[in-house]
Amino acid sequence: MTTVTINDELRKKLKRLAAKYDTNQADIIKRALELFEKYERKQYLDRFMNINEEETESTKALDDTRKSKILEMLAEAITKFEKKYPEIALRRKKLRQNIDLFDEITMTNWALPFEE
Amino acid sequence: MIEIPLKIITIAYDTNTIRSETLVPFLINFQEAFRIIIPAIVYLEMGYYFILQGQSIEDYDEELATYKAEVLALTKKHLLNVINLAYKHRISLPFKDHSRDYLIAGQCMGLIDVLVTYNVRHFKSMNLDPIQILPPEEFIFVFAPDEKNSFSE
Repeated sequence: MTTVTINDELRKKLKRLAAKYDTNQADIIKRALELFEKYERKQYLDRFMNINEEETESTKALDDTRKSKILEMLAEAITKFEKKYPEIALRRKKLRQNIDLFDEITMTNWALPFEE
Repeated sequence: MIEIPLKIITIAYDTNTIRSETLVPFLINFQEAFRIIIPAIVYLEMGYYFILQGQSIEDYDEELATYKAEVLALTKKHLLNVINLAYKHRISLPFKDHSRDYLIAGQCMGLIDVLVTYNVRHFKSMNLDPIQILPPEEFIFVFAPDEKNSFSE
């Protein structure tokens, strides 16, 4: 068990919600965190679907049930990854943020002396 | 009940898949379904990028260890593949512009089932059959293990 400090406004909100749903304040925090995780997951999936907008032959062949199962599995995989390997997840995020620099270092030009 | 072993799919990924948010979590979660090969040039580019970004080679090695990836050293056989490919496609894909693509392809020939890359067009035009060339999102859709074969903890 641990104690956190919250301001009066938040404490009142928690108290009101706990009374409304006939539960304790810790349960309200737990539910709020679950909602937040769900929201984060949805954001991932939206981004994934946006990248995948141009469907190819192989993804067209999959039915919608299979597709949504895969997306669900993927969302779980991402959550687990972030929990189990927080340092690697953070590092990857940082590396993606500077992607413009990355384009400069890939070896795209290797002129041979005998080529024009 | 007899358990039928899964067919292990051998894959390699291109450096440009660093843009994908989903590939690494997917590979870690379903690592038993895949053998992951890192071509030498991909290791070189990734390692250099890690250092440029204030990380270390050990950081990249640590990541590779989480999904049991193997870095593939360049051999003479690979270089001969590169030379032959580069000569065959010298008009459509000049070596000076596609050297890294040839190095990846030359190492992957006869070894992998899938090359995961955002540079699908160039690798496809090298005719690397039977290697499938897929971007990360499509790779995940096509090769995600089904529920009974899920390796999730």
